[in-house]
Amino acid sequence: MAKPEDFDIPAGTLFTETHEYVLWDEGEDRARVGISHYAAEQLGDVVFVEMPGIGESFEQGDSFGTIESVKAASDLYIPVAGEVLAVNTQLTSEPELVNDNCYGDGWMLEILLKDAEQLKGLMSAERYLAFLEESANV
Amino acid sequence: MTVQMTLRKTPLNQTHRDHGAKMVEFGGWDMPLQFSKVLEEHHAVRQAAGLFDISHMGLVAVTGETPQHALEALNFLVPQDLSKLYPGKAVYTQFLNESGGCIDDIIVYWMPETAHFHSFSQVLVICNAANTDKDMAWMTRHVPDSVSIAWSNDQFSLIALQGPQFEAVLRASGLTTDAVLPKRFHIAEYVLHGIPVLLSRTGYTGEDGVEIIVASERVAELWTKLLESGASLGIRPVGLAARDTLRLEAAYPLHGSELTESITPLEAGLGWSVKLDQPGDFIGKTALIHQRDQGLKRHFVCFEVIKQSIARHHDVLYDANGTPIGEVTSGSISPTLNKPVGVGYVATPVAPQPGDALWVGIRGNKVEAHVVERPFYRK
Repeated sequence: MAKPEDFDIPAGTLFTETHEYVLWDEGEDRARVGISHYAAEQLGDVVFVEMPGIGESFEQGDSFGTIESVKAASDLYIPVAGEVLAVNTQLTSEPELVNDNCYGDGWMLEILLKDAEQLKGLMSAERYLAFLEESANV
Repeated sequence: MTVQMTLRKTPLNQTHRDHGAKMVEFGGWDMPLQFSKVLEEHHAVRQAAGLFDISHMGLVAVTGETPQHALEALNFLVPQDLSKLYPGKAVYTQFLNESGGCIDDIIVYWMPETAHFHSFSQVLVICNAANTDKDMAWMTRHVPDSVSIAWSNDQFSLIALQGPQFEAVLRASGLTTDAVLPKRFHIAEYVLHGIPVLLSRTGYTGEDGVEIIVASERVAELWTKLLESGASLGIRPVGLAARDTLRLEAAYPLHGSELTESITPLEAGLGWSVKLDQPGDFIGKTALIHQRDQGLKRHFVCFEVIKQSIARHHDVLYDANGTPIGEVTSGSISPTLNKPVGVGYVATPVAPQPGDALWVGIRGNKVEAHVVERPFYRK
C-alpha cells in the first residue's frame, strides 16, 4: 500500500477526483492549489501552464486554466471556491517544476478560501492514494 | 472479445527495460517512448548526441540477377530515378498507389561491397515499421519473380546516432582518424568497438548523424559501448517521443500523419523527390503528372500558434472568416523555439505564405496561428 511520504505529499494536502490538490493548514483562510503527482506523471513532460490573473474568483469545480504536456492537454479545475491571491509565475519559464516537485515548487495558485466547509468534501492523501489504486484495478 | 496482440520486440528491449525506459506500442512494436525527460532528450540531440533504437524499421533486402536488375524492378514502384544510384548511394523516396497516394516513405540503398553484410549484397529498402508487411506484399506483387524480397530484421538491427557530437562519439568508439565518414545519403562499412557496422549518413532529426546497421546478436553490446564512449560528450539514449519533436522541427513527414494513401508527395511538399521527367514509368506517375498540371488543391503548411496552446493531430484549421480550410496532421511544442508549432494541410486556392494568419480549433477555441517557412529548425 502506497503511503503519502512515498510521493512527498505534505501533511494537510487534500485531493479531488480530477487530481488537483489543495494544501491547507488548519485554521488558515488561504491555501495552495496544484495537480497531483499522479496527474503530473500521466501528462508527462509539462511544457505550458496557462493560469488566471490575480484577483479572479472561481466557484468550486470551475476551470482555472489549462496545462499542456508534450503528449496532451488538460483543463485544470479548482478544488474549492476562492479568489486568486498569487500565481506561480516561475512555471512560465520552468513548467517542468510541475513534474519535478508538484507539491512544492510546482504549485499553481494561492487562493483566498470562500467557504472552508468545502474542504471537508475532499479526499485526504491516504484516501486519494487508495482511490488511485482502486481506479487502477477497475 | 479482446484481441491480444503480441508486440514485436527489438533485440534491445531488455536493455531499455533495465534502464527504466517508459515503453509504448508503436507500429506493432514495444518501443522506448522516453528514457528520461522528453525535452532533455530533445536538447541533447540538438546540442550533443542522441542514440535511438530504430530496429522496428523494416530492413528489406531486394535481390535480383544484378543490383541494376533489382533497382530497375524497384523503380517501377517509386517516383525517384533510381538509375542515378551507384554502389554506396542512397535516396529518399515513396511507394505510391495508382492515385499517387503514399503507401509508405522509404530509403533505397545500392549497397557497397562489404565483408560482413552479404545479406544486403544488392539493394536495401528501409521502411516504416507499421508498413513493412504491406510494403513487402506490394513489392512482391509488382516485381518480377526473378527479384527476391527478404525481411532481414531477424538478423540485423538499426540504431541511430544523431547530433553535433556524433562524429566525436564515433571517433571515441574505434573509428580511426583516417577513416572518412560517408557523405550525406551514402553508406559504407566500418568497425566500431570491434563490431562490424554499416554507417548510413541519414537521419530523422534535422541534425547531422548516422544510422547504424549491425548484426542483432551484437547490437546490445554496441549500444552500451557507444553510450559509454560518448558519455563525456553528452550522449543520451533518446526515445520515440523526442524523435517525434525532433522530426517535427525539421518538418520531416511522418507516415500516417503528413503522408497517407490519399496524400501525394507533391501535396506533402516533397516534389524534390519526385522525378516526373524520367523516361521510365512508375505506379502513380499519370496521377502525379495530372496533379502537377492541374495545380494542387491543398497545400502543406507549417505554422506557429501564437498562444501557449498546442495544436494536435485532427484539430481543424480555419481561415479569417471562420471557415474550415483543413486539418492539423502533427502538432507539438518546438523545444528549440519554445513555441507551439504544427503542420497540416489547407484546401486554399493559393498556397499560404509565411506571415499569413490562420486559426486552429484547439479544444473548442479558435486560436490564432501564423504560417512560417518550412522547416521550423535548420541546423
